[in-house]
Amino acid sequence: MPLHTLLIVGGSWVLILLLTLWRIATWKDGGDE
Amino acid sequence: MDPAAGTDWSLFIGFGAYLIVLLICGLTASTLMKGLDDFLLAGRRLGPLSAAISERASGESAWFLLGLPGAAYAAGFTEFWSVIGIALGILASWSFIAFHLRKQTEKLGALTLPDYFEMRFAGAPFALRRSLRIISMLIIILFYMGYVAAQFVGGGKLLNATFGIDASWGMVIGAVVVMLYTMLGGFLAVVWTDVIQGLMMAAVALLLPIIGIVKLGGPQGMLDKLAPMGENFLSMSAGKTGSAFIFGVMLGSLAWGFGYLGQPHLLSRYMAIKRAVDVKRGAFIAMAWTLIAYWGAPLIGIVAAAIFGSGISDPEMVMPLLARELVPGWIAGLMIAGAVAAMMSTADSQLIVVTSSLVEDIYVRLFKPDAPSHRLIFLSRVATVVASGVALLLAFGNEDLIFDMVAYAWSGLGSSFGPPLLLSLRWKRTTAWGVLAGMLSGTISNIVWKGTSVLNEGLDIKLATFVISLACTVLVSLLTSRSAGPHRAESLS
Repeated sequence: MPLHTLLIVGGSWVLILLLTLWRIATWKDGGDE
Repeated sequence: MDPAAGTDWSLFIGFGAYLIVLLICGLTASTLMKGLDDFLLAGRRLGPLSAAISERASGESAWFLLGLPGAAYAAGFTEFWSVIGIALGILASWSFIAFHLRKQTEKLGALTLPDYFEMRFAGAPFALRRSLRIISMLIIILFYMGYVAAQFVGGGKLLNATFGIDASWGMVIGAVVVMLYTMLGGFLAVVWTDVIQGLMMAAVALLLPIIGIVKLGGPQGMLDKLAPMGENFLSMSAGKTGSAFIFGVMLGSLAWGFGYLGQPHLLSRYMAIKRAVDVKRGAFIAMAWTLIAYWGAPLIGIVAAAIFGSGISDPEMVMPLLARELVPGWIAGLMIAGAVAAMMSTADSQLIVVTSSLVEDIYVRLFKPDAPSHRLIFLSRVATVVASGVALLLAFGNEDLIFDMVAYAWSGLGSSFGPPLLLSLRWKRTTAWGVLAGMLSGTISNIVWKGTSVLNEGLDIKLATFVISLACTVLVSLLTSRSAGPHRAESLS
């Protein structure tokens, strides 16, 4: 399997997980106001 | 390989149990129905878990366990671009729209998206506000009827492949079951069944590829089996280079994410959440579901390619074929019920949106604002039956792949409602004229793009029409904001 495929498929999963956790961690009660 | 080869009656055990549970949900919810608010939004009483799982189950249609694995079976790993775009779209929708839409619709007393668009611009002339309601309602009916029809086509195909039932009868069976529990229990029944369906869908998307990869001797065993499919199957570029890759493969697939910003059947979940502060928990649950289920669905198609080779005549049937190949009959029955669940959980939510347009947006708002609750519930049930019947008729006349039918409706709704909704919630200079321009340009550009092969081949319809609608909403808002003053979106506080 080409390395770029592995990096994009696996790396995007990790990045979106981190993005979600960051979004939740910085979320204020009133949304993102 | 013939998908309809033989009928394994043990499949019926899991599948039959699933259908009975759905009808029980419909009957139970019908006893709790008191008013139109209950039928259309479950009285805004959803907790974060049910709102999030229901949003995910409704968001992922027959496309999720049939269309996407089929596309991955045919094209390979490049389908993961769609998955990445979709996950980002789900995150963006929960992050930027959910909370504000929940808060605004409660403040305005809006039950539907057309309600919201009309009420949002209180200072605009009456005729303009009425136009926003009527045009958004027409857009809903235009795109949703084909979208629901696509779900029924998926149900028919699936029952044909699994039980050998004629595809036309399969469509009728799927449509009648969905119609029955939606008509009886309204939004509440739809949400209860969605939660069951959403969990089943995630379980199938997670477990089926894992079982397949283990059977193939691990990831390396799977890759060895995939070698004959060629280099392009394993590559993210699908053999394309330069602008053909960037616009045709990567951006076109990522653009699936735009659609999440404008799907009324998903937006109604945000509107129904009990407390606005629960949106954060809902976002977390929805993203957990996405990260578990969405990376599994294309893997189903890839594992199927490793196991069956390239001999399956209808790629959209790889999921049921793989389930029958890998697990005992009754578990395969449950897994196939998961795919039927994907179809039903979307069709039921879309039927509620069409029903709400017919009853709330037309009957109540335009003709009988003081109609009694019992009459509105009765009319909602009639509207659900009529909408199901029309969608079923459309399904009989349509031979497009589920993938194509869904892509068109997804793009149409996403670009007609996404930019106008996002901007009306988040940008104070948005005007009623800007929203009208965004909705019209989104719809018209979709119809033109779909019918013009040069445009369709040059740039992906989802990307192009979203950008056009966004540009029109911004430009017309800027041009009219100075004179419009009170037509602008009110303060968000």
